[in-house]
Amino acid sequence: MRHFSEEEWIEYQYGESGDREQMRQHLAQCAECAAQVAALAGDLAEMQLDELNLSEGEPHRGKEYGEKVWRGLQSLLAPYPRQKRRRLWPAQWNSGLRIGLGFASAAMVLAAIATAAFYSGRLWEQKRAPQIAEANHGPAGQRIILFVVDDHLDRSQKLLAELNDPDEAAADHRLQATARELLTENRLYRQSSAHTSSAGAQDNTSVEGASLDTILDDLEPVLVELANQPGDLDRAEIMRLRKELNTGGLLFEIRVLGSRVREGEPNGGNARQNGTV
Amino acid sequence: MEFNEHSAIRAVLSGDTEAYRALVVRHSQALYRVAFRITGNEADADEVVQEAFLRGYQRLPSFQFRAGFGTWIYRIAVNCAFDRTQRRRPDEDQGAVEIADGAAERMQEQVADASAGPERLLLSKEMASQQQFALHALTPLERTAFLLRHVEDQSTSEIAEALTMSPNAVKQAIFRAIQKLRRRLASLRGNR
Repeated sequence: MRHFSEEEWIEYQYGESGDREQMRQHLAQCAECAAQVAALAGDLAEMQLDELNLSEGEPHRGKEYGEKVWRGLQSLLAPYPRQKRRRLWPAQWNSGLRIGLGFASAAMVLAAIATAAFYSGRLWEQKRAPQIAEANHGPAGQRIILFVVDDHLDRSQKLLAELNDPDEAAADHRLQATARELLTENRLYRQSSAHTSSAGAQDNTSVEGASLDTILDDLEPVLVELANQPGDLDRAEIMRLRKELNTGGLLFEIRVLGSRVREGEPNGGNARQNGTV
Repeated sequence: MEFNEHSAIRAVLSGDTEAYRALVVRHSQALYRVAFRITGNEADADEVVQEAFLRGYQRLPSFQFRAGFGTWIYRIAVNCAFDRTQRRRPDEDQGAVEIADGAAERMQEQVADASAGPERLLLSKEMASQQQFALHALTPLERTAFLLRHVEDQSTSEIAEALTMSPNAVKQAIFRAIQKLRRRLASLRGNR
C-alpha cells in the first residue's frame, strides 16, 4: 500500500488533490495516515486566522478610507484620450470595401442624376419652375447637379448654423452622425460637380459650377473634422472648430449660393469668384 | 440604481478620470486588508493600496470585461504587496523574525502558567498575535502564498496568477509555510 506524503495531504485538505477519491479510500484503510491527516487538520484549524483574530492585530480603516485613497491618487491620473470608434470590419478590408462602396455610391449618384434629369425634363415641360428653367441658360449637367445638391446644401447649412450655437451643438448627439452622412454625400457631389465643370469649362459656361465646386471643397474639411472627432463634441471643441474652420464664413457662402440658385439668378455662382461673397 | 463597474471602467477609458473614484472608494478597504496581511505594516499597506490603484488605472485598457474589477484589482494589490515585501532589506525581515522569536518565548511562559477562565481567553488572543508573529517569520513568498491560500481562500492557480509564478512553486511555498508553522505550534504545545 502506497502512503501519501504530507504535501499530498495538505493538497487534500485544501480540496485541490487530483486523486481525492483514491485518497479518501486510503484514509479509510490506513490508520497511520488517518492519524497524520487528523493532526494536520487540527493544526490547520489552529492556524485559521479568522476575521476576529486577524482584526485583533489589524489597524482599522473606516468607510472614509476610500475617499482618502482617491485624494492621494487623483493628481497622479492622466485622463485617457477619448477612444476612437471601433471599426465594424478588419482594417485589411478597408481598402476593398471603400472601393466597393465608392463604386456603389457612384452608381447610385449617377442613377439619381439620371432620374433627376428625367423628372426635371418633365417638370420643365409641365411647370417651368424657375430653378429648372435656369438650366436652359447654362450647362444642363451643372443645373441638374445643383438641383440634386440643393438638399445637401440645405442640410449642410443647417449643420453649420447649429455650430453657431455651441451649447445646442454640444447637446446634439446626432451631430457627428449627420456630419458623416453629409461627408459621404459631399464627396460624391464634388466628383460629379468637378466632372461636369471640366466638361463645361471647354465651352466657358460653367461659372456656377466653379462656385459650387469651391463650396463643396471648403465644406469637406469641416465635415471631415466633425465626423472624425472621437466621441461627442463638447462646447470648447465646437468653439475651436468654428474658429479654425471659419464655419461662419462658409455658412454665409452656402446661403448666398442657395438663394441665388433658387431665385434663378444667372450669375449666382460667379459672386464668390468676384469677391462679393 | 446599482453601480455598474464595467460602465465606470468604460467611462474612465473614454477620458472621465472621475469615474475611477467610485471604483477606488468601493475596493480600498478590501485591498488594504490583504495588503496589511501580506506586508504586516500599516504604512506599507497604505502605499500598496495607492500603488495598486495607480497600476490598475494604467493597465485599465487591458482589463477583460469578462472578469470583475474587484478580482482584477485584488490580484494587482497582492502582486504589489508581495513585491514590496521582497524589496525589503534583509535586516527588516530579520527584525520580524527576532520579534516573532521573542514573542514566542514569552508566549511559552504564559501558556505554562495558564489556568481556565478569562485568562484562557486572553491567551487565545495572545495565541492569535503569536500566529501573526510566526507568519512574519516566514519568507515573503511563504507568507503571501499561505495567507492567500489559508486566509483569503484563493486557489493555488489564482495565487500563481496573482504572483506571476508557476502553480507548483506556489504549492511548494504553501507546503513549506505550513511545515514551519506546524513546527512552531508543536513547540508551543510542548510547553503547555
